[in-house]
Amino acid sequence: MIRVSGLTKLYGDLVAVSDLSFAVEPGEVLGLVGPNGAGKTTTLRCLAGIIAPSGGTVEIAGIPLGTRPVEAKQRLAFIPDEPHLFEYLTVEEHLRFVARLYGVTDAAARSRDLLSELELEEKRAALPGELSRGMRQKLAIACGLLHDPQVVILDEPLTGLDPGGIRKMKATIRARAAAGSSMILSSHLLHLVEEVCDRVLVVRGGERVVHGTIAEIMAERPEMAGRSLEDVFLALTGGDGSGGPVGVRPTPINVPEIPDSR
Amino acid sequence: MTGPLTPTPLNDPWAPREPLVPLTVEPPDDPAWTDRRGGVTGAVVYLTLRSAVNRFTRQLQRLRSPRTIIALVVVVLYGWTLLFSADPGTLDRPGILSSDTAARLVTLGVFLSSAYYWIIGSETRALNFTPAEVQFLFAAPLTRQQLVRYRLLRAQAVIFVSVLIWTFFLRRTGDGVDLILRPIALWVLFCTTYLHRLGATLVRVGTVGHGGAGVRRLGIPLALFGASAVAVLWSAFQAWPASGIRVIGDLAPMIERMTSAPAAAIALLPARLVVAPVYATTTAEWMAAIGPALLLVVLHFVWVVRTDSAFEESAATAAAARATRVTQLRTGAPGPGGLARRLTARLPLAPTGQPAVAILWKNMLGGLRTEKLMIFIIILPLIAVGLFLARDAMVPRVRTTVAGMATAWALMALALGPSWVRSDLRRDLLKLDLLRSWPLAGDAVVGASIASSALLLSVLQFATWLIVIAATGDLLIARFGPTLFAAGAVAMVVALPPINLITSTIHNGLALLFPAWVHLGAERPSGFEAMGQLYVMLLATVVLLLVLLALPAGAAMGVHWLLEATLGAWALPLSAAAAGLVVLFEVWMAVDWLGGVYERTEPTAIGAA
Repeated sequence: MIRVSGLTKLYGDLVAVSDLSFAVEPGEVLGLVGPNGAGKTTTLRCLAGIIAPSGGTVEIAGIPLGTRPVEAKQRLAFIPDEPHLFEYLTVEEHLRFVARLYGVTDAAARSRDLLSELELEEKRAALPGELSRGMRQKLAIACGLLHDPQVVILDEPLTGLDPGGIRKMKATIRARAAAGSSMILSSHLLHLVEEVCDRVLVVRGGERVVHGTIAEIMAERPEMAGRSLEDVFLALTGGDGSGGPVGVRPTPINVPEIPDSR
Repeated sequence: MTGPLTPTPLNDPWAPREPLVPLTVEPPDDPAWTDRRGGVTGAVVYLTLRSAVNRFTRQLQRLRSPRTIIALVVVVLYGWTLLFSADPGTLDRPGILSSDTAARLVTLGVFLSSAYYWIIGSETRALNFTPAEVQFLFAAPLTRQQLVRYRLLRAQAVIFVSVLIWTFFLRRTGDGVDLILRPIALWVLFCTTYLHRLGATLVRVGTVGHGGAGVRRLGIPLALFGASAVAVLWSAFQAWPASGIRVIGDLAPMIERMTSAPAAAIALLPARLVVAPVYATTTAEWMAAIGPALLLVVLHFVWVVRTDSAFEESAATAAAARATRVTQLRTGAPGPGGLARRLTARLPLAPTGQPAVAILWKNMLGGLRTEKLMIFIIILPLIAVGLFLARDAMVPRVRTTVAGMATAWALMALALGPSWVRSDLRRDLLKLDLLRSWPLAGDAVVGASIASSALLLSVLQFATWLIVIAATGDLLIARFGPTLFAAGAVAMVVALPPINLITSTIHNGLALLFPAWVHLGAERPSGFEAMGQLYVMLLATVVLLLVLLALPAGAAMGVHWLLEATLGAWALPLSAAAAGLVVLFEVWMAVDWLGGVYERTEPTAIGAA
């Protein structure tokens, strides 16, 4: 499981994340949602040990990330929205590299299964430059899941995937959770959150707005009964009062009449 | 950040605002529209000028940054020292570049370049439209002639810079020929060769898909250039000295005999006409030579703009190929199916063991596949074997020359090698997000990165020293004796890896500590800013290297002083080993400290760099 307590991240005077606390139990999928600039990615990067928080603690499977980072990261996978790959390593070599980093003893069998599951078998000798955006994303996912992590953090996991890939990704998230992993996923795709997440954490301005199951969140806003999660999200994050898309001027384009040549 | 959003003109769509300027669409065939904007020619002129102005403005804006100003000052000082500190008296004599032999070589070069574009061809170089140009201009209502004229206009920028550079290098006395007439002659030369390459390429791509007619159209120039090439080769064969070429000095008379032979003189006549004004030393010579050269450039221009070949598909394909190659260079990706990729495919890595070894393995693959090191590491030992087998057939002077060149290369690899081999933190720091998510302590990541570059560099240097030993090993043994030779060789094997460890530590450490001053990523830096930063970092590296080598050098001297009387020459490798141990201690301390720096470094700080 992952336990977050009082997580705070400051950049000078700017409060990116403020006193965030939550826990994700084994087998649970938490959806982290919020508008742009809400602090989601900063939160995820703190949870993955990429950046050091200014305050608070993070525990991965009971191991404090701040004081025992190597042991904690051994049980963690972070899959970013933009796959960071090494352009000179093939698909198979990426998996061999990750296997050694995490000491995966049965790496060959697991690699085979993952490549099959993510439909990358035929691309095992390909370099990242020879892969499509979706395949690169799948490779990043395969690298993240190779060591069977207890906590999986996914930032916009569906970016670049085709419909088939999206379906498989959702199934993979559910299967990993069913196998006992704690999953955190950040996404702007609210239908994905609604479909695969057990609980939702809505953040805005680095602060927790609401945390709970979708039913619990709906129950807190009786006036929103019968509305979609998107409506609730917009109401919670203050994005519903403008009456129209931001920045689009409803001014018609003036197209001059072309003189009739007849 | 936590308060309610305040409506602003940007996010409040109903806020009062100034009326929009109506977007008017006028018929493209309206003559008033084209007249007002100068037509399509005006558009391409606008594109060319705006691109140049914007690039220049951006360069000026970068001067606000202190690091850019310092880099510029360093480059200017370096350039001034290099170019203007020479004894003015030396300008009175023609240098190598402005000699008569150089003129003959340039004539040969112009001929060979033209023959290459006719016989082999290179659409990628001649039709060098960018992908953006292909997207916007090829789809625009432009004729092929307009596209060709646009290409010629764009080429003028490169030609202008080339003229400036070569005017400087070819200067002799700084008189009117140098300052006014030679730049004009250089412009004529560069324009003619560019037009010829472009014309040849247009004819070549225009014949594709025309069957027999295409072959006949291309056949005449191919036959002409084929015959000319045979004439030049025959002249070279005739001019080859009976005693062979033993020193570089033998080349000049041979080239003179070759280019003066009747057959070659006829074949090289057009090239000689266009080169002649560049090498004119007096105004009278220039005046006599410039007429035919100008006639050639005018004829080429008329030929090229009148050629109506369907080159769009070839140009688009060439643009895509070039874009892919640029991306590969920038990202460090090896080409598909490359030799280095195949040779390194089986480099083993066990799934369990020290995790840091995975970084070493990854960086070795990265270095061997993208730094072109694999080619050197394969070719250098092959050259060494060839030299060893052929050493009895070679005169000693050639062997010592080869060994001298290899020694110079090995010493350069020692000093500048860390700037070439960058398969370490300097390439990976831009992926700090990913690196930090790995279950490795900072010192493990830093240590493995430093070790990988040092290892690659050491292999490269050993391969180079093999050439020296193969070429002159017996001569060195004869001069120094077998014991001193063997002891010296062992000492070198012991000493080189620690020195590479130190230089690699310095380069990686500077990248971690001053990411804004070090070029990060696989893309090669360019421009004065990059050059200035390189000089600053080089200076810092030299200073740090001297400081860090002081203690090991002291240890080596101490051990040598103690053991020389007892062990003789074999005190050398032990001294090197003592120095190596001190270096290892220094590197260990540095890695421990830099590991902490790595763990404290924010990815945003690297990104901001």
